[in-house]
Amino acid sequence: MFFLSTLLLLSPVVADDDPGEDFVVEGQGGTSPDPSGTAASLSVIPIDQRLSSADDLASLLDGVPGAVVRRLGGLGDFSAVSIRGSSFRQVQVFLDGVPLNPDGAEVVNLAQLPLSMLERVEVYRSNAPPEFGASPLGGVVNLVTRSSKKGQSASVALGQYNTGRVGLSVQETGVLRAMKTATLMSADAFVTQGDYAYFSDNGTIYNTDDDSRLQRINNDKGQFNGLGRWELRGDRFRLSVLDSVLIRENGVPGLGTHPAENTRLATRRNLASSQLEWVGGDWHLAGRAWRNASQEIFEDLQAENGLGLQWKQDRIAHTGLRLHSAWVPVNWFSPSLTLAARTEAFQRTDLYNNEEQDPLARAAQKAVLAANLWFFQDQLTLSPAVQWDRLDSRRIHDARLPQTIFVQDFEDVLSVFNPRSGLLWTPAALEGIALKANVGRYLRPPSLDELFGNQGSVHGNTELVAEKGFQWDAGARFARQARKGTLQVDLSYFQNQADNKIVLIQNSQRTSVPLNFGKASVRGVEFGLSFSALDWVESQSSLTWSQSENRSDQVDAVGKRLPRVPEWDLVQNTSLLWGDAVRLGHSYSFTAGNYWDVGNVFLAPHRALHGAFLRLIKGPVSLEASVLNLGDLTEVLMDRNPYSEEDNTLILHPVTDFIGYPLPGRTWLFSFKWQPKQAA
Amino acid sequence: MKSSSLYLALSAGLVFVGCSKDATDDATDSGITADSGMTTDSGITTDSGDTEEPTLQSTAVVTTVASDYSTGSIAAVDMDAWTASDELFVTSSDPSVVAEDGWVFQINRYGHDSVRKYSAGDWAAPLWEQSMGEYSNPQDVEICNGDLFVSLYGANHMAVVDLETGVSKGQVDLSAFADTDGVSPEAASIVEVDGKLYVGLQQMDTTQTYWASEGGKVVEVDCASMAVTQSWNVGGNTNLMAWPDSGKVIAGAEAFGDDTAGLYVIDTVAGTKTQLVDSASLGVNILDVAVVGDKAMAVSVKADWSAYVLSCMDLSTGTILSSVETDSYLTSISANNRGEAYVTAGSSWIDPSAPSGLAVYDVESCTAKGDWMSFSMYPTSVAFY
Repeated sequence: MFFLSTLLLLSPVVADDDPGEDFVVEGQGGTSPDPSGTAASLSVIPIDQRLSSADDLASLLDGVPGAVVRRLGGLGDFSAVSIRGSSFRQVQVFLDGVPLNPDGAEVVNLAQLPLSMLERVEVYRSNAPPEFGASPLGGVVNLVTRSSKKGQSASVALGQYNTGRVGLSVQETGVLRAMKTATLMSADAFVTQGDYAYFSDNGTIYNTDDDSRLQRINNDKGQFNGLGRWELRGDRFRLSVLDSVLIRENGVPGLGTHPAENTRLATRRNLASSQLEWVGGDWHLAGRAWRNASQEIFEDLQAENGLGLQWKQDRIAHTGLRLHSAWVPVNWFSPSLTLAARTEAFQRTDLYNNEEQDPLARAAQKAVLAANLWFFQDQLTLSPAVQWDRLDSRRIHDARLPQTIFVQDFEDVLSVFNPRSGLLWTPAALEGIALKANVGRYLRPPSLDELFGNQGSVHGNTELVAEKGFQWDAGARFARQARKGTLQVDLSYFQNQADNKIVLIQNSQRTSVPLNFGKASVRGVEFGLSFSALDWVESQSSLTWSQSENRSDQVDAVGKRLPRVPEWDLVQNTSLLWGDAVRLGHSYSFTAGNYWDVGNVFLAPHRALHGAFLRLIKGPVSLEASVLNLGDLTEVLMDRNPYSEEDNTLILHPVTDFIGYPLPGRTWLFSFKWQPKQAA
Repeated sequence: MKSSSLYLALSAGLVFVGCSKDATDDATDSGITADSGMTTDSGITTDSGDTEEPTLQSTAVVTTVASDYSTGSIAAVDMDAWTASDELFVTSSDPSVVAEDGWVFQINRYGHDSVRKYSAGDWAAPLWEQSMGEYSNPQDVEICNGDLFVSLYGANHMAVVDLETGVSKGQVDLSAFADTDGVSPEAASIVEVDGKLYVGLQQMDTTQTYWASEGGKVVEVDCASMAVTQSWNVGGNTNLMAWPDSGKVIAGAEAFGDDTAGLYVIDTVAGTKTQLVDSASLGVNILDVAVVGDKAMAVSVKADWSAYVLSCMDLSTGTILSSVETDSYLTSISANNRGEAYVTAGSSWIDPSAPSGLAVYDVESCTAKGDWMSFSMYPTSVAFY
């Protein structure tokens, strides 16, 4: 059973027998992976009618067990995801299998990736499949673009703070020389002023006379995303070409008590990729080439961010090639080999002083040798893998940049083998039950800005070595589908240990240098429950309990909990349905035990946020009113002086995910959507 | 990275004396002789013409900062018992502290822009707390003419506030000294001599990725008129240090123009500037100096950033008496009126296992007086009362 399902996963084109104009080609990620069919800790979230128009990738990922999202504001503001206590860089994000931040080269801003272009989101919290060629400490998030069903959709949303979003998507199918074609064109435009009110103590916690509610300034955003994909499909192959464009302009508002009124950031990105899949009788071969080029222009001509006057352009390009082959020679054994190579190029230009720095470039190679072995009538699946990572930085060995402090012990070539393995048991006697366990070693090499510095606040350190981690987890999944409902339950325990963590150590008033200084462990329990019943209720629950420990040598951190890794994180999404005409949704998120600092001085108060939406549907048209932060929670009471047992004075503090970045209060959004039923 | 042998060198080179510190003769030798009506840093106001031994300072107020710079705190060290009351109250992550006339002024610098006034020893709540304005970045304070003068790194003026309330009373205009970036002249350290303030202007060109100095000046401020009365060019990135009872001010500076990097002495009476130490020839950048009589200890970083250096100097001749390198990240050095210098060390970016905390040295003999004292966070600056 499982080797067949694996083969189907490997070869999506085989699954299609539907002839004619309305043929179905699966999305770029192939058939949706079944969490019950893999040892990996996997969540698959479809982008469907359960989500409100106010949902974004950040809120969606926040509902995944083990995932915690941090926002610097409201809709459209920077947000990033941590999985099982990882850093943001330790989570690798892919778009249709193309890495957006290979090896954690940068932090992916989730706000730059609109949901309207996606079919589903796959979150691998451990033991990601070898075809990604990735072994990150924090897991893999794979964003899968819309499938190529014929159809169109359009949506318009308007909301508070001059927020607007327009989405348009067209999917067409055709025939070219007896081969089927599918075309997807999708566009998403987003604007907001982001000028919500927030509380400010003016930087004086003891002086309440100067407290006030201010309006967030310079928090406007304009963003355009375009996606085009063309597929050509024969009997045994599929060719797919994809191009994704991002154009984003936004203010950088800075800290709430220290707002930056004029600082701007402009981002351009183009991701082009092509993939060719070939399927034989018992083998599958896939090759993918991509280029992800981005440019950021940061402009702070008033020196508002404390790093001096800046007007700089960074250009980054990742070019890669990945080959994946799998073979099923016998019905109990399927080996696979993944080979990948990529180059990374970076160049900074000081636009203010009209100075172009030396370009930096390095190359990375990977090889993953993996296998699936099935035993006991496919009830037991063993999935061992060993990954080799090589990072060749010899081309930048002689670079001498002003931001770099250490150059004497530069590691030219990083070469590391990391094994991992998964075990899946689906006992025939317990229908719907899947028992899982995974163990492995993972890594993240230092990024170029960690090695060579950034726009002024971080000195480079070429002595850095890769972050390393050891992880294991064990859990169970139960999935059952009945005529009048579905039920899925996930429960798992995980333990992660990270070593050589790269942390920033300040070496002057305004500058820091990254060092391999950190050690940490995180363990916890993840629980997920999803059900639908009687065609009138749908529910998704996610509960994570985490216990983290900082094991670094820093006197203020050792033995303390990791900041921004909450002890409790609960997300509950519920929808009530009235036939096909009405959907009433409610979301609830609760966070507790969340420290803001390494010294565990500031414990954020428990936070409970509600959201809701009401959608009326008539044929292809739907109207929706949605509200975020229904309770308008913008301030919390906190101990003024946590050190003092005598001073129990409580003071107001803005609700934040990061200290200094206030979150918005109640936010309304109204949307209109037109989506004729897609051809099947 | 440096090997641990440097720690041995540090330990061997600076003789261990003992954990408890006494009010030694050496310390009293440095006793302050105050002029008529002068208020000294030791908090003593003398009668006209009299000379008396100052009350020995007994408490060191220490700012500490988290390793991720998310928060800060204040600790008080009993200098006789060598015990600390840690985590007295929360500060910003970029704090500084000044003790004067029985008050402790706690400054929250970049991003917080506020000053708090405490009655020394009473840490329950400040007497007042005032914002100095967005982006003002207060650096140092000094009481003069009954008012509190505040240097603002991010403004073209110094703030003058009411000592009792913290409310603004006026400004010292420094716009004439603004450098070409137009942001500010970057006013930083303040030293008071004979009723006048001497302020170090760092004049940094903030258009560079790593700020470059456009000169650096010392300006003399008349407290009554709140106006600049005199100025000296002293090289770049100027940092002023007090030379008590000498009528002189020490200015640490980077090279700029005809001025080489090192220490300069401003004779406030004669109005002259002379170079005392040429740090470039020593291969270091001098960061901070603690002066006791004619002796001093300096914290420097090697020009290639490979190590920090603790040096003992004879100011009368400008000679370096001894130096020792360390991997510890030395963040400040401050002198008290007991003849001691307190050195703070943070989480080392050269070697994270290097010693950190607070160490005490006898300046005259150039010897360590005990082991490092640790705090719950990393100390960054010290003031005494």
